[in-house]
Amino acid sequence: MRVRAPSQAQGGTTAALRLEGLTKRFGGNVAVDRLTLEVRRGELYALLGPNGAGKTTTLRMVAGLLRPDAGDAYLLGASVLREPAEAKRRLAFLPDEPLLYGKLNPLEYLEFVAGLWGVPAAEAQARAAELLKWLGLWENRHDLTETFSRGMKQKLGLAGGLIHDPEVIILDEPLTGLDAAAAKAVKDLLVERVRGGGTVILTTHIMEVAERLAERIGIISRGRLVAEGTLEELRARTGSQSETLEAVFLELVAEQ
Amino acid sequence: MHPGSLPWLLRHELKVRWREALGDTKPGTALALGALLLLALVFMVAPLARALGGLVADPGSVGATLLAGVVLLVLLATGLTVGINHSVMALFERGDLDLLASSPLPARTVFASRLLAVAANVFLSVGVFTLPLIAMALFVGAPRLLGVVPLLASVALTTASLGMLVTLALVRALGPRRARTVSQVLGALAGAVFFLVVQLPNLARGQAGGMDERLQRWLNYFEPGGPLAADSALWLPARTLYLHPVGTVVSLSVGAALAWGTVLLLQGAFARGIGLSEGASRRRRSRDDALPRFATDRGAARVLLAKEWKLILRDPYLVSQALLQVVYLLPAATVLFMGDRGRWSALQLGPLGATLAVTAGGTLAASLARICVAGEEAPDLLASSPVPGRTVRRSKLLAAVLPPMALCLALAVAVAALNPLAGVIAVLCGAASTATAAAVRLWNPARAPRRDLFRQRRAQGDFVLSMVEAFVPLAWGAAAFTLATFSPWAALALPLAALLPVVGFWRARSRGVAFGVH
Repeated sequence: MRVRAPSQAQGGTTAALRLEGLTKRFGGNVAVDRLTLEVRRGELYALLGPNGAGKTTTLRMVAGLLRPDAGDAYLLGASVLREPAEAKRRLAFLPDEPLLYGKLNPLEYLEFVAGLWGVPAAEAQARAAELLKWLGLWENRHDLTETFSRGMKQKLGLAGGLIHDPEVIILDEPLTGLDAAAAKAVKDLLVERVRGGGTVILTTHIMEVAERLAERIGIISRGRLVAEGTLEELRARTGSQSETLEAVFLELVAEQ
Repeated sequence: MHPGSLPWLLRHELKVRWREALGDTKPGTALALGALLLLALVFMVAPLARALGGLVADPGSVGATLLAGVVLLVLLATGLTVGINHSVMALFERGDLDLLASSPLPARTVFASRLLAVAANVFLSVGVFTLPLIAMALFVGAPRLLGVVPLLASVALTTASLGMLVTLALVRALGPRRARTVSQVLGALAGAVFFLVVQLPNLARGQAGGMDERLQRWLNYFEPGGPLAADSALWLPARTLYLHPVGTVVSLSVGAALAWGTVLLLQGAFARGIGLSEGASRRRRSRDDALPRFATDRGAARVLLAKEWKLILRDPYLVSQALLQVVYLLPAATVLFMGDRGRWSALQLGPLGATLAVTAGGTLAASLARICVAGEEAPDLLASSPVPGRTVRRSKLLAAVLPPMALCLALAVAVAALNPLAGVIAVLCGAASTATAAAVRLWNPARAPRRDLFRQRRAQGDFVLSMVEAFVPLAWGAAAFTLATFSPWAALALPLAALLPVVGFWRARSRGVAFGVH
């Protein structure tokens, strides 16, 4: 599939995503603790952390699904708290388990998502066909999604995220449930989008994916950023130049 | 208990169902509530016991036979509804079915445990209706009526077997996915038909000829020599109600034989059905390469509205459940329509029709709002989209309100032909009833899988708000009636109807939740 470069509505050096003291508590438990970080435009950033570190909570706050208790997040300069519509318009958020409508077929689902983001009909129609063909769902375009396997749902969720050509894509565990061919296609797509000027932020537990794809990596533990940088910078921090990301990650998390 | 044996599996099934039924309620609380219910029933059935005392004392009499027959029919009808519904759950809810199917346990054991679990569910669900009889037996000196327990056991085995037979026959004929939908609708329809049959006497009361005459004609069939004479062997199963020894043995044997026969007959179909039950719907043939025309230019609100209606219309089970909520209004409606010794006049029909339109509209709106709000499958997609939350909420409200408003309007036009003022009141109160009933659901955004929207307690959400939601249509119905009849009670009914949604709003604000707001 030919991946177009996301439209660059705003030029300049504005960060794709900036978190400032983002905090979220659930009862007495602090899930995200004054988290501050910045993701540059046109980079692929991997957010890593052990289970319960606050990765998903952070991303859900950025996507406007959870309201932070303190701090703010800025997407391409737009505050998710004060200008949520502007921020969301330029963002796609793909949760680890895409929630689809069982009684809609893929075409209807994509039409609906395109409608939410205000994509013109002709453009949405062409892009839907292109995405479904690329993801191997074209043959199933008239089937209700309630009949889909997990992998097919994951692909359709991804298609929904791309239908409005977002400038920033946030993916929570994007490769879960995908077969090898689809996983490779998704990885290629993410790389191509970054090459085209787009920004990709992802969480993953598969260290090789982060190691191979990400330009910078942020590691969070107990809701706090414990390390950030390129793989080399992270290695330097642990004092070993030959270690894999997995070893670096485990060492950094164990320090906490 | 040997692991993997039928009793062991059955115990597991019952434990799971019991926990599902209890939800968040603690077992002690449930038992205390049950005891209270039984106590209340003892007081309530005392007059009934006096009335039926003579009948029960002579179980061979025509009256006693008729009573036993009616009890058996009621149990069978309700049992069949519950049996079909639980068969669908047992056969299609695959959470643990995959685990069981992949275990070395024989399919016969697994299927038998499922069937017996369905029977147990029928026994417990329908058993609630027999509590008055049990209370009479225990506390009001009619121990013979303890026969309702073996009768119920027999009915449970019979209807569970029939439920499984119907459901698996549908799987064979229609494929698993359609079978699931059709059997769910059948279950709902069986309930509705039963409900309407129970209401027939009320409906008949308004007609010429009267009920007494018809009843007498029916009773003649039961006299000695009649086709349904009280000493006929046909009544043996029904006589289980009075602990008739032969009747009890016969009915229990029939139930057990039917269950065993069903297990033997269907174990193979069940094993094949497990493999079929998910992801095996017939693929629709791709019609052509041409894409349907997208309609994303209409604006988010209309796109949302179209999506809500499309999803509702594609789910016949949910539609049937929503309409069933309206059917349940029939007892109240028939009581209203019976007024003035069965003579209906245009003067009465106007206010009564307005009441029905307003109440039915509000009830339907509440059900549709439950589907749109509690049944929303992708709330995160909506919340992460640039569409403002108020637009989402407004679209959901409109999706729930417009169809019942149209229904209400149609009924109001009919009412206006009889009584113009009542027609106007039906329109005004109908609009208020549908809008406020749906709005209360919007403030009570409990979520549940769509298939469980009308059967799981968690789909009801907050107790206070669910009560407000249930009473809002009734309150507006009462307001419409009192206004249309110029009753002074309107001074109470109208403010009450207006106050209930305010209570709902206050409750929702105090809980700090509404759809799309976290």
